[in-house]
Amino acid sequence: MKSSEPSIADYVIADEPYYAPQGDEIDIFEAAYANRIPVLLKGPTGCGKTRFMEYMAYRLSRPLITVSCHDDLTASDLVGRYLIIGGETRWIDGPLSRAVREGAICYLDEVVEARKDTTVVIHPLADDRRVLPIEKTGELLRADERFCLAISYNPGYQSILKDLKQSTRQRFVAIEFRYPEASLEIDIVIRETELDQKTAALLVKYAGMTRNLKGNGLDEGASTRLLVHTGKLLSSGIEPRSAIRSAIAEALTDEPDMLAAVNELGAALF
Amino acid sequence: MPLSSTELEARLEDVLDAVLSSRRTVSDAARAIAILDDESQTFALRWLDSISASNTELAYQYVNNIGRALGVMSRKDVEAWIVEALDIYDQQGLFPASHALGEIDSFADRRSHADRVVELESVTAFLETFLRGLSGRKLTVTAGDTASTDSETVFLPRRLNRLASASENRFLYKVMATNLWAMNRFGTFRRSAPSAPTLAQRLAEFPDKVDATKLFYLIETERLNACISRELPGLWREIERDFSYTRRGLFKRACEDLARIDATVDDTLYWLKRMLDERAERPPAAPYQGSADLDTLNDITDQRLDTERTALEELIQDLIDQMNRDDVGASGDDDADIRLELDNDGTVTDYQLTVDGEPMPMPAALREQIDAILQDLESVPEDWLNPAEGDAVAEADGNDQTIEEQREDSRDPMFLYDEWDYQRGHYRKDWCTLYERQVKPGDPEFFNQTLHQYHGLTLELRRAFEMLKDQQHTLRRQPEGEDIDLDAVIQASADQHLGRELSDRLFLKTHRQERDIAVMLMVDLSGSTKGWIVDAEREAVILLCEALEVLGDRYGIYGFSGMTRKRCELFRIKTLNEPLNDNVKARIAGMEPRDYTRMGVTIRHLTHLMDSIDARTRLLITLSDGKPDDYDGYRGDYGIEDTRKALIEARNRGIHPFCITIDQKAGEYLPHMYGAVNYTVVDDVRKLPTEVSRVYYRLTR
Ligand SMILES: Nc1ncnc2c1ncn2[C@@H]1O[C@H](COP(=O)(O)OP(=O)(O)O)[C@@H](O)[C@H]1O
Ligand SMILES: [Mg+2]
Repeated sequence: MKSSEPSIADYVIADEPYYAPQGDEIDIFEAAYANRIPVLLKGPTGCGKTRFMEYMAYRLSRPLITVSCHDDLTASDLVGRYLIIGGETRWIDGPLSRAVREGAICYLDEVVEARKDTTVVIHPLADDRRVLPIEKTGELLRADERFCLAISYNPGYQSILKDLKQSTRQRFVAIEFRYPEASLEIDIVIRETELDQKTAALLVKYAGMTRNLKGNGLDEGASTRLLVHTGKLLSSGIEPRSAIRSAIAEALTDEPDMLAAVNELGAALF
Repeated sequence: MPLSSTELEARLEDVLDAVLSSRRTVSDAARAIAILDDESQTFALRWLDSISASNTELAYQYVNNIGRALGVMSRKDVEAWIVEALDIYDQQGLFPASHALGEIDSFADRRSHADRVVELESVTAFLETFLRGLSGRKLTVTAGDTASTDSETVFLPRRLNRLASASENRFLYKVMATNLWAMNRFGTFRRSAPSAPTLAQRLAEFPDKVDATKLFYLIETERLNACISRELPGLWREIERDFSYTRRGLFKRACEDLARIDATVDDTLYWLKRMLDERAERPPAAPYQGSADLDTLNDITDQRLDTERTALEELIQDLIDQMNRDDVGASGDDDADIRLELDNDGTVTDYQLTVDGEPMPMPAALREQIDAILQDLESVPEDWLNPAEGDAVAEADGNDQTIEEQREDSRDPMFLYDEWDYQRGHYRKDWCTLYERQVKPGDPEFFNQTLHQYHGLTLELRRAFEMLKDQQHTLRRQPEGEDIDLDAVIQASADQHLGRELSDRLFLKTHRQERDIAVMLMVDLSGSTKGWIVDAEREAVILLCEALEVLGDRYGIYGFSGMTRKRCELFRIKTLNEPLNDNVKARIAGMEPRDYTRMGVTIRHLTHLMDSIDARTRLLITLSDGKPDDYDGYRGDYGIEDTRKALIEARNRGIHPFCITIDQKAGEYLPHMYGAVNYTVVDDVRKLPTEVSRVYYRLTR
């Protein structure tokens, strides 16, 4: 087994990512960063949270270490573990310890997916102590002053078992994201996919139709991400109705009547 | 050898004797059957026996028609014709069934097109979803004689077989529905002001009102087509492909003019007059053309405008209150000056909100309310935008209990609770008296009947909940288990190298996730649930019980209502620790609508009951049909604020409140009470029974 650690420089974002602001989120993030307050990004999936983090990392010239959380993520997955390399035991930092040590931005995506006992390790980092106790080595890691913790959370996912605990959320400055308003969303689709204005506008209108169905058979309408996917298929010459079927309808639902309605709403436009 | 007509006559008389007379004989019928072949005769006589077993008169009608039926249809189709008549007999009686037997030709016609028939029932769910997607508003789809709308419902023919294939007929349904949607969306019935004449009144001004109305829909369909072509270009392409026809003469000019982006129903009426005056040639109506039931539509519109006006005024008043509150101490004494100004920019009508002259972003609820009004009116009337000062909440202490009620009160367990007065900013001590009451049991069979009625769905829910229950989870670093935890082994050997203590937790173990959930269901039994709603609530409770039994979650069920603070009532249907037995089932069936809805005290009591329960997750679900409301002034902000306070108290004790409501306006107050994501609006009472279980599934998955 070869375990070559990527160098921290690999996490630096060299080119400016395209990000279209929805409001004052850039200012708020910068102010929170300057004051070393961690940030919570709230919003449905695919509305630009990850892109925003990439943009902020670029803007603040900090490496960005992203962890996608899932229900099998343990505290050691974040903090680190001992490994045997060539007969030697070596401590290997997890992504969180790494970011803490090197003053990077650590972004825990979909944090409620992680197990509750895992979420607890971020607590001492998220208040003004800014420390990470590493049990295994007995080290108390003090965060580099450039370190920043950000987490994301989708409040529309109505499960009480996966709700973010008050004791966690109250440590963060929260920024709310929603789907961009129509004219901005059209700009984003054009920028990301090179579609023409007219087609992009139709796609965004279509997204609105699916969002009308949220709570009436759909858990969620089409996200900006799905629009971008569809746009890319269109730019590669896929026929619009097929693009919508594969990139949006099938992604939103399996229920036959709903699938028919979602597809035919698309066919009504394209 | 086929039977002769004399032989047949004897056979028929034998069976039908009771309904025959000297003037009512079977000789014609016998002659008609006599010319059939052997097999057909056997077939006809076999069915005669079955039908006469149901009803002799029906059998007589059958005998008179069977000869001809076998002449024009295959035996398989004739069998279908008989079975349909018997079904009608069972459901509607003798007369409609006899009538059906007489309609051989139309039945034969329908049968020969069986493979192209589309039943409305089979596309209703699809159409309703499609229409809601188009503009976010609900339109109910129901069967009617022709395609028409009353602005809330879209009526469509029960079945369509006009076109050559099922897929074309299904498409026709979609286009008809879209056309009726377009009438509502693009202002066929829109008036300039509430007092302006309605479409019905304007059409009544023509000398031949009936003819003018007919022509009106023909022309208006063209204006709507133009709107559809702009709004839904993909659908329009298909409409053009399947239903194109040529427009000529004055009608063609009308169509061209009505295709202008700013054409309105006034333009349609202009062309209607011209075409009548000039006796212009008319093309045939498009197959998807619809119309409206203008009388019903006007009633519905007036009612809707009334409620919308009230809602708008409330929203504006809220805004003013809020501004004044935020303003305290800042600018001084006078009220915030709030204005909604019409911003008429060419083709789009919009409103701009200004406060003390400064433009402000419009709150979403206000935006939606204005949009809703603009569906019916061209602009919002000036006087709707300046609501008069609301009257203060009147307080009446209801002391009008009957002797009997007072006696009832004294037997049941009684509790006192504080209530939050938001205007004073403190609690009113021991303000509410709550009684825990028994429910009079209803029909114990109702429970199982309901499960039976929802059989298919129950299975589906059961399967979903079984999966939820069996959710598995791999635990790492266990002292024993079915697999080796490689991570742990590596760690252990690293530890060994370092000379540390060796862990024996080296295994992976699959673990059934313990669901440790207790849920309290709080069911609105206020007077307003009378009828459909309480029926749906009972069924919802039953289906949820079924689901909860599968999961093994602990649950309690209480109904609530009451009349004034002195008599708040909670109806005990099932306590948290009681098993689901026949008594509980009978009590569910016995849930009946009572009086008013005082929610705060109910929540406080149920919180108190849940306090003693030790469960990792505790959930309080309210089933409701409207805002908190009681006879003695517990309404408006007072009721909402007290309920909100009670919910905060519950949350502080670690209970998760959630609300399922059928109030379509709940978006205006529930987010404030329960939080933005802790409620669900069910858009149709009929869906409540299954939705409650679905919501529970989502909540606890
Ligand atoms: N404000 C925005 N600016 C630029 N691109 C955006 C924006 N919002 C969404 N996108 C597009 O949508 C895609 C999905 O966004 P992403 O950030 O991955 O969503 P999230 O992290 O919220 O799930 C991005 O890859 C980008 O193409
Ligand atoms: Mg993301």
